[in-house]
Amino acid sequence: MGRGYFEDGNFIYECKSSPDRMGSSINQGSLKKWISDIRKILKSRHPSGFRYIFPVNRLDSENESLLNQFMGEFPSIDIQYYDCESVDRLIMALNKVNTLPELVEYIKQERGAKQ
Amino acid sequence: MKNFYFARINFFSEEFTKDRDHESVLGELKRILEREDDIDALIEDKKIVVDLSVELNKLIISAEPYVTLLSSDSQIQLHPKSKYYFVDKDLWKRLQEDIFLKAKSISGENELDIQDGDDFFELVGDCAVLENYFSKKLLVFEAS
Repeated sequence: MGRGYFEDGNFIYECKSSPDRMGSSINQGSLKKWISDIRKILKSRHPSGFRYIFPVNRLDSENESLLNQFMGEFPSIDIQYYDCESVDRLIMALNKVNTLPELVEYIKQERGAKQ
Repeated sequence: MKNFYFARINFFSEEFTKDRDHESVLGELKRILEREDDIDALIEDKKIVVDLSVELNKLIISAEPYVTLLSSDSQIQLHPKSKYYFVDKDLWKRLQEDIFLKAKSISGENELDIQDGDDFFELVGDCAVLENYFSKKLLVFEAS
């Protein structure tokens, strides 16, 4: 994913992780910084949807509070986020249909780097 | 994919850095931090650096072209265990060129999405913030 995000139709997807806290919550300070970048992208590109994917972390209540506040800033954009458990279910499905190879590869790399 | 997140060194005053060059300021900072262990917790808890994300309205810099700078033997890393790196003169030149090329691009690959005067002036404002702290030898960044 050369540009850090990609557009598929009119949706933007982004994966982020706190690899030093695998299986646990996202670093709140990092999440604030990442959201500040996404805010810039959403304001200029006006996609109809944005998917935020955290493939190796769970989300704690502080993370969710920040994400929900961010979603509230863009009521006209369909924003969804997914934690590692959602992603595990997604990967199992994707492996069966063999699609979205970049996402599968990214998650394998993130997991492999810490094993 | 990772992006750069800039911060300013809060530990030194402008008075301190005024008569030193970039190399000397980085050397001083490394010397002070070298004995520490849990380095980033210390840097963030003691506010040795302060995040600049909220001051930057337009600029997004992908870390990918700079990956060799982020290696474990990097000369600009504040501490071997730290995620923070110092912006020296060489890196500043690369950043200037990188931002310039992105800003003038009008193709679909224009990551900064400069479409009108408002966009351009937001970018100029961001560059001024970074240039201010670079010239004071107080600009650092992390990639995440």
